[in-house]
Amino acid sequence: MSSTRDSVAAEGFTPPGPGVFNLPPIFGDTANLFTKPQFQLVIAAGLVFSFFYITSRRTALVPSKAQYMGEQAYGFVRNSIARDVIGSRDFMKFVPWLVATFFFILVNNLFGVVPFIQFPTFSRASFAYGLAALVWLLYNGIGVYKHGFFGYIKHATVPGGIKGPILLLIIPLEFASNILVRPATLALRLFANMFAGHLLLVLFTLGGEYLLLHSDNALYKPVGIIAFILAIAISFLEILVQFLQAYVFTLLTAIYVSGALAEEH
Amino acid sequence: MSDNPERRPSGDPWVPFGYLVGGAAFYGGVGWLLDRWLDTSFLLPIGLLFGIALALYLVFKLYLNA
Repeated sequence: MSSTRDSVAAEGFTPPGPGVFNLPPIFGDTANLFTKPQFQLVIAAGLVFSFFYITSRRTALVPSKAQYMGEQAYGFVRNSIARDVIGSRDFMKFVPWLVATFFFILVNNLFGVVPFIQFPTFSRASFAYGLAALVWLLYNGIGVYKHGFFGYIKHATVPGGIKGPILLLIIPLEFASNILVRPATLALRLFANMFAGHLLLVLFTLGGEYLLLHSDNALYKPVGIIAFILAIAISFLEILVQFLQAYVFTLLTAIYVSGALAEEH
Repeated sequence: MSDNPERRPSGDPWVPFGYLVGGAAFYGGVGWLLDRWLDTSFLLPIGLLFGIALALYLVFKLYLNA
């Protein structure tokens, strides 16, 4: 048994690592001018725009099937994220941002399981950082706009219900948590989920291919088929994760905005 | 369902996580800087533990009051 294991190891199946995320540029050479994930971002923006443009182009009192789909998609984010979290007074201003964010992330994530694309855009961390930076600007900007600069700093760093000298110790902690850690966790959560999911799929697929085609031992071939079946099962799990991550990102954006708008703690 | 603005969900389940990371990072950073300044090596762990303890205190305080 140990000899077969050694022979497999000697043949050298190299498990996929972070290297699988370094795709070659589509054009442009060393400067990496244009890569597949960048292309996907543009495609996703185009898809989301077209979907809402087409479904809302001819609106009628009795909606067509397309209009109905568009309204359902829009209504989901508008009602179950924006209105529930931000509250009925202020939420309409933020609905376009939230709807765009949700569907942009959703489409980019789903690229991870769409055949022949099969790469979740936000498994490249910089894109997630960029998105989180936009959210950071949004909720801090809203807060400063609403409370004034120093008013917002106080709002974001002084928790309600705590008094006395311990406040001096709490304020830097609140500042770090609300202003510095938030955007980092927002980006990392999205990035890490997409990264891990893609790596898992690549591992099961490449491992299955290796066991099925390149292994000397005939007993390993059925295991390769099982690995393929598992890869398909994991793809469905990934669809769930991809949807949830888009939802969570949008939900947290709404929560941060709502926190910045709140009158008092 | 929080049409009433007074009763918004404080909602973000990641708040305690943010406090813990923020506390450890900030007070750990202070400890690290003091270590470099005073040429010692025990202030970084003390800062880390202090930050985490403070974060826990804050989490308990806020969530028990709520």
